[in-house]
Amino acid sequence: MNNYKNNFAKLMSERLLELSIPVAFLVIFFYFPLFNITKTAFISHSHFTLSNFLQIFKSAYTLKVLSFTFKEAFISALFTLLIGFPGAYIISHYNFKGKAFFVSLTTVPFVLPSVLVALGFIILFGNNGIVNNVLMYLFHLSHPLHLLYSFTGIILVHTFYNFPIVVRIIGADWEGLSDEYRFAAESLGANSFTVFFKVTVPLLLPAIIASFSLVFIFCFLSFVIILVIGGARFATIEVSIYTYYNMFSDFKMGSALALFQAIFSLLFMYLYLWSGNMIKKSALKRGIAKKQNITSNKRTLSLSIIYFLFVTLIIIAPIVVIFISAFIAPLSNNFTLSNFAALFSNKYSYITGVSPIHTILNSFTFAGLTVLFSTMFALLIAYGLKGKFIGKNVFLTLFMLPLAVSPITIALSYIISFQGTFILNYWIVIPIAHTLIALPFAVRTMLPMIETMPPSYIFAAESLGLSRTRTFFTLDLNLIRPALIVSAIFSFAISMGEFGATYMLCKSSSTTMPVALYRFLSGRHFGIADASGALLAVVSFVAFIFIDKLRKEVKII
Amino acid sequence: MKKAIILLVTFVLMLTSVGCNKKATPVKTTPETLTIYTYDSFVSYGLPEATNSLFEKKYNCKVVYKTFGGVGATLNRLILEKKNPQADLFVGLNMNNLQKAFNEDLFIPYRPKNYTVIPEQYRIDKQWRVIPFDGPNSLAIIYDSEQLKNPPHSFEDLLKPEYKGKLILEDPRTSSPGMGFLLWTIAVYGENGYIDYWKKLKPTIYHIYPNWTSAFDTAFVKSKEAPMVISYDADPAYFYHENKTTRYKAVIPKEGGWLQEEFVGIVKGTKHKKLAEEYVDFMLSNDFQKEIPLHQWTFPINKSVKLPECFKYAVKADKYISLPPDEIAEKSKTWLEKWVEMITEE
Repeated sequence: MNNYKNNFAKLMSERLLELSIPVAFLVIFFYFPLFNITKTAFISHSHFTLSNFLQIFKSAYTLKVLSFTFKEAFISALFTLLIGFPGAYIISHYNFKGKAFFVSLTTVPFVLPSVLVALGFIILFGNNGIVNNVLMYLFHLSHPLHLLYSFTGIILVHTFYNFPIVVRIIGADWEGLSDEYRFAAESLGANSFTVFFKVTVPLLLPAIIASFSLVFIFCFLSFVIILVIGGARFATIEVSIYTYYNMFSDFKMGSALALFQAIFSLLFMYLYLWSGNMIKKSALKRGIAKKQNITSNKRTLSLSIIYFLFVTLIIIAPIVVIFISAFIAPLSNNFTLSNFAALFSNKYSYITGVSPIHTILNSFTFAGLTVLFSTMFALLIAYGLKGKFIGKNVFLTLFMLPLAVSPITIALSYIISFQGTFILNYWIVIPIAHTLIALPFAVRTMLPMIETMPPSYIFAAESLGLSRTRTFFTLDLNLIRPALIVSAIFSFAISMGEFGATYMLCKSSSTTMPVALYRFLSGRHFGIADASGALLAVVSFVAFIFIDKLRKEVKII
Repeated sequence: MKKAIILLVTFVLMLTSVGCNKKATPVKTTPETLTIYTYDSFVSYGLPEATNSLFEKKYNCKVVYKTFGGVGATLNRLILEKKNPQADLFVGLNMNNLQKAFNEDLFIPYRPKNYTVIPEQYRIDKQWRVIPFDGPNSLAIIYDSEQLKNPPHSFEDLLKPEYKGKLILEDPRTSSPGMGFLLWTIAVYGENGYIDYWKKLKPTIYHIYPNWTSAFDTAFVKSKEAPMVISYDADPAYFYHENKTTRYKAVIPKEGGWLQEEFVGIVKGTKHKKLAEEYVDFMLSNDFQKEIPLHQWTFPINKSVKLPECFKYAVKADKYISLPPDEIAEKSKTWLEKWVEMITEE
């Protein structure tokens, strides 16, 4: 009994030790600045006030916006899940030529600045777009179809952005699911339909919930896409926050709204985690399911082909369009290489602060550091929160909160809090902000895997005399490798594509690729902007392939 | 597996070390550095690049322009740093945010030695807290003459059925020209009439985009979604200069142009007041003013400057209208809220 107590105490102190580093990080670089900015919302003429908050609830507009945001985020997440699910199945069960290429390519949208994505979609699906012109020609229509500027259009673009989240998170989990469960069910006479809904889906539920909630939060915070596609008809809270901060310099209302937004996503997140707890998490048997060749089954093959055509139209075609426009001279529509030539010269260094090519180096540096930091912290958090204990969901929600606070709020809170300190004048502030945004992602990806890691392996390893550290490096990391890779990919992608906070925090020597792209656009250098967008897509793509390569040499345990 | 980790770690370290080396290079110290905050496109249009060296040579100093996004974001930075100012000058304030800057008491008044180059009617601030350096300019309807033969000539014209679905707009919640256009309609129709006007304008609107880039570059030029867009009066000059085309033309509605000027102010708390004053004088001199048209695509405030050839395609308003800055500061939130309410109702 005493022994048990000692063990418990040891376990708790271990947990605290594990959690202390990420907690310290979050307190200094998130909760303290957030407190600094939100307190302005509560102070009026040096008195405490709730009037800014009451203002929100008095406004019919804000409430309308809130209900729209929920609706839009829920439907987007659901649709992304439906579209991504078959993709997760295919990549986790079949081998085919160009699979790594395909998976990496579908992750590219995640890093693309929304201005470029809007370009891709307008040229493809706009009223004068390629798809409409083809349809009008084929069916002799007199008017173009309103494909893009609608609620459906918003869902379409959100799917484009978030598709890789579903494919990768569920795919990684599915891949690690041992075939034995399926065989057992089948041997008991269950048909494939029953197996799917009674065995596979429940086993995948943690991953499904993880990916759904991440997509939901992203769509909840969606900003440019809602506005580009919806016009002024639709708006998220994020739009109002932006307007208050940047059009009116009204930090009180801006912060009040930011806090309001955070509380709502927090509430949703908590409900979600709570419902997730309802699912019984038994120790799963992890393994790698044997993959089949996709051509072995005619029906699968033809269904897959249809699926790929669909994915190509929605996910890949816009990237291709962006790429093509980089080779076209602005205004004249002639083919040219001068956009890229400009990118490799120093002609525009006065815009980027460093040579344009140097911005690639900056982006890679920040992304590399973000991967390192977020993976380390997420591992510590996941181990610290593993298992069941009271208050776990509260902790987890507190770790997830950075995802629900807009980058512009984070950047402003840094300016308020770290003024005059070295942090604000030092490039490290950028990977720090990126880590903050990527961390919830990494946690949400790794936690389900670590939770379902069978303890028997670890006990076995330890009983064979391996130290816990040694076991961690040889066994744990191997077991959770699919999750590690997914988390690395998204931390990398988030950092490569992040724009809002970076734009407001970066010094001229630490300009990143998306910031450079926006600066080019703002000065009407459209050609070089398109070229830098294409370059951003290519270098991210190459990096994804590289990270994905780490998956290859998996040995089945 | 080990290999994989080692790979990952080396990869990350490699990148990191590269990043660190680069930052380690010491910054050369120069006698005096003038730090100027401005909005992003002021830098990327290239005006500082074209003029800095001239001033630096003359005063043996260094001029550093810093930007943190659009004019709103950069002004925010200035306001947040009020107790601990990092900038000596702020360049690029406009009529929409003038009063906000005054309310925050950000600038030291200074009347330039060469202030007489500013035509009297454009000296907006009688206390010289801010000094205009370009203008007057106006927003304008830019149209594609290949798709639209008869452009509208007034705000009333825009309501005609022949223009149904032909006008691309920017969103006033997120874009400066969008806000400018909204204020313009208020200047024309008054705060009691603009909502009615917009209700009638709705059918003419093709789509409202969140920023100038997606409206102008993507929808208007690249995808040719609709033949009219709200942009700036000197845009035809830009098209002619870049591409020798006169296809895109501009109209300023006959109700009057929306007066736009840009201002510079010396930041309170500057440690280089003398140099900052010299810089303001420099901005009004011919050396600086003559670079404005082809870099900023606006009219210089110093009217003795000869305009480049392509500016004959820019349109000039016959008269200008505006709203008092204090009224904009006080009421624009309410105006915007009413507008949002109107535009979102189905």
